[in-house]
Amino acid sequence: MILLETGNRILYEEVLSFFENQAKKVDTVFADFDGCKFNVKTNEDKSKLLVSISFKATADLLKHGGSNLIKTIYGAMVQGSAEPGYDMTLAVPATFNGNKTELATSISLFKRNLVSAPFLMAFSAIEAKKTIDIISVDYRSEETFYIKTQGDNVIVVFDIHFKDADDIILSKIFLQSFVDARKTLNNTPAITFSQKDPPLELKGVRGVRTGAAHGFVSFVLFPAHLKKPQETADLIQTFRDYLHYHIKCAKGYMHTSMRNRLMLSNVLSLVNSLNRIKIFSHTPPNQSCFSIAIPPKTIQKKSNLLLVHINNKQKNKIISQPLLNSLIG
Amino acid sequence: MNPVSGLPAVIIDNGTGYTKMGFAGNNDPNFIIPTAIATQTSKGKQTAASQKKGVEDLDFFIGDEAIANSKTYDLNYPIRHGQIDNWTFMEQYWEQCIFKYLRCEPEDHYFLLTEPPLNAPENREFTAEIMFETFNVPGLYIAVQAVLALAASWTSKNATENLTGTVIDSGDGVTHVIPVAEGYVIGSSIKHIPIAGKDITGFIQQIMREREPGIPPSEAFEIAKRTKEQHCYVSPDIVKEFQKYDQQPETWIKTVQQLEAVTKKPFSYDVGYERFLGPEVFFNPEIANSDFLTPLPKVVDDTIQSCPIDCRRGLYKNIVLSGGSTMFKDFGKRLQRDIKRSVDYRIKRSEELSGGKYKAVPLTVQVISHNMQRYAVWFGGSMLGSTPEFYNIQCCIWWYELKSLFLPNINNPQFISTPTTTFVKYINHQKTQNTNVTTNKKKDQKQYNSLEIYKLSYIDSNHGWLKRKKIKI
Repeated sequence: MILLETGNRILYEEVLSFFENQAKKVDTVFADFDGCKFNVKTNEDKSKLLVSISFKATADLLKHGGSNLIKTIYGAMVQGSAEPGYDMTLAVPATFNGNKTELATSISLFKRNLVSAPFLMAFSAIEAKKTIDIISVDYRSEETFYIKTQGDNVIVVFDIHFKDADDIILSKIFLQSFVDARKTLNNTPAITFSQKDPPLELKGVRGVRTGAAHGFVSFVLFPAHLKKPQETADLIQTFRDYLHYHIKCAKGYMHTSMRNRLMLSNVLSLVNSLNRIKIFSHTPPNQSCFSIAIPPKTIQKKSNLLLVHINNKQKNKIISQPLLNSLIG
Repeated sequence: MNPVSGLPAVIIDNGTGYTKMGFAGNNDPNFIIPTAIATQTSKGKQTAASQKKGVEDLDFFIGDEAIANSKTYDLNYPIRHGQIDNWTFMEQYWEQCIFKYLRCEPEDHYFLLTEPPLNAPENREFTAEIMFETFNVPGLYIAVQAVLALAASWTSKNATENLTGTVIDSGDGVTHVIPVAEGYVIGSSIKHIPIAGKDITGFIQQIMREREPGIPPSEAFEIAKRTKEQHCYVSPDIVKEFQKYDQQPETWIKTVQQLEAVTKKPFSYDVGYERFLGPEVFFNPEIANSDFLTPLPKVVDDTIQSCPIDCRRGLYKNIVLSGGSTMFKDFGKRLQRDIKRSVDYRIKRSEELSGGKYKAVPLTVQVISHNMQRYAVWFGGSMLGSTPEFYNIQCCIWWYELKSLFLPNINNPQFISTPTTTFVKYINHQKTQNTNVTTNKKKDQKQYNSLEIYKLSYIDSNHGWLKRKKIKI
């Protein structure tokens, strides 16, 4: 799985199972990327399945083309007022007669459709040779993305915030190779990456966050990319999650090679042996030394226990003080 | 809900056969998929995705998709006998669990994973390492499966809400009998029985093969499995049950009509004696021609008898069922009766031997069945993960860092895999609002309170270096 999927699997299955077994009472809570939370439940007389979404960016997205798009896709299913605690609710009637798999797919793309709205709006503005004001969508705590039109192009800027210091470094390498990949691949959008300070495209925009933990990635989408607007919107909106997913996979890959190395070099068996060591007694005859016992599993010998007596002088040489303390304590 | 992001905790129960995963607060796992991973380990094979250089480590499938792709990929099972066998595959497995199935950003969710009883501390440390280092989870709790199964039984009316009891966990491969006292697994007394779901399916298949020649061989296994799941029940007495079937076959023996999957030819078969003979394997193993001959009630009795004497009453009083193979109708009733019989016999004998001088205090044997039995472990985790107290007790990132600096491994069993005493208190508190508090319960609660203070005092501290010595107990 190189690219992330666009639909939500749990949502898809919940909608299908609602049609299969309508007598069942459902109330499920689950999450999606970007701090999005879904609630799927049946209403009191089980005549409707209520799909509610709680998403920080809903208000921003609805303002920038979202309300029209959602209305055209889901039509009468959009419930006038959302369920308490949620931002938007779709009501799926039990009497639905059309293609149920298609409906389930379209509902599983609820969040995708919502987030696509400002992108599609910007793309259609370019087609109509219009310019629009910069759109900023505050979609996570500490993170925002911006959409801007410039001539024939659409510029998308992600402000990505990292909590972990290692991730900042990994993402930097990752994004730099993203920039380099453009040299070998044709027709890719122009990508620039800057850390700490926002790029020039965001000059004059208020409330842009700065700091070492913030990275700015800007994509310049050329008219060629706008021929398949939905596809482009799908790819670009999953960019942040894609980045995080790949950073995690990269870490996993590195751990694997580290583990393999450990296995090869017998270090692991040493580590395991050390872990199995038990303190046998810490009040030996004279106070300056103590003994540790190594269980027979550790050494391939028939003797029950191997006793190691370490006196004070050796102690400092063999084992460092903190390790020793932790063994005793 | 995560106090920072407001999102539910993720509960993943990785079993040998199936992985149950979902979000806390739900009644059922959102996904139940085989714990299988299909990777491109063998060389020479080229698929579209792997032709791009450098992404071979991303080219794999998990769960049902892994089995579907097993022709072009290598199929691996990263968990063997309940324990993680291959950490590389497990790490990859979790990658897709989180990003493809659950679709969540691990940095925003607290995680609850499960471990089998007697898991090695190294395994726990590896798990914590992967979760914290690779996935950057904000908090992790690794719970013992048996303890979660006990917690899940609290949904039953008859349950006493404590963490002492005997867990009978029967899945597809093996059945475990695990005694738990005050949330701690009594490791030396755990017993395993090689009779579980697949043995019952095999036995039913064998009976049907002899009697029903009409069943096509290709479907025999599926039909046996369906018979087991839909028609089987536990009878109080086989002889009487046989008589019942022979006298009124029309009410007991069911005829099933079916189409053959490939040729679409109709065929029919009867479901008869196997309805009660299947689960009988647990109580009379010799009928299935098995090498193992001790009945389940006897094993449970032996297990409890091998435990410390002061906790035996609690263990008899709270025998909890978990896993799909304990779902047969009246399974609990029969088990309770059989265990009670051998306990009563023993008490009677000892009274006789004492010459009537000593009278034993009556002993209650109670087997608890509930609706959440099938995925009891996952459900227990979901319950635990949806309480606000969950966020106070688990292994948080700073604690993990501290541990890795200080100790060679996270080897303090008191810590990650302990029952949540604060959690117990919370549930007790909820219950006391409705019911009368017995003196015994009050005593229990007091004990929990004192434990709670002790635990919180070291977990709440951000200066663990100084507080570490307090953990000694």
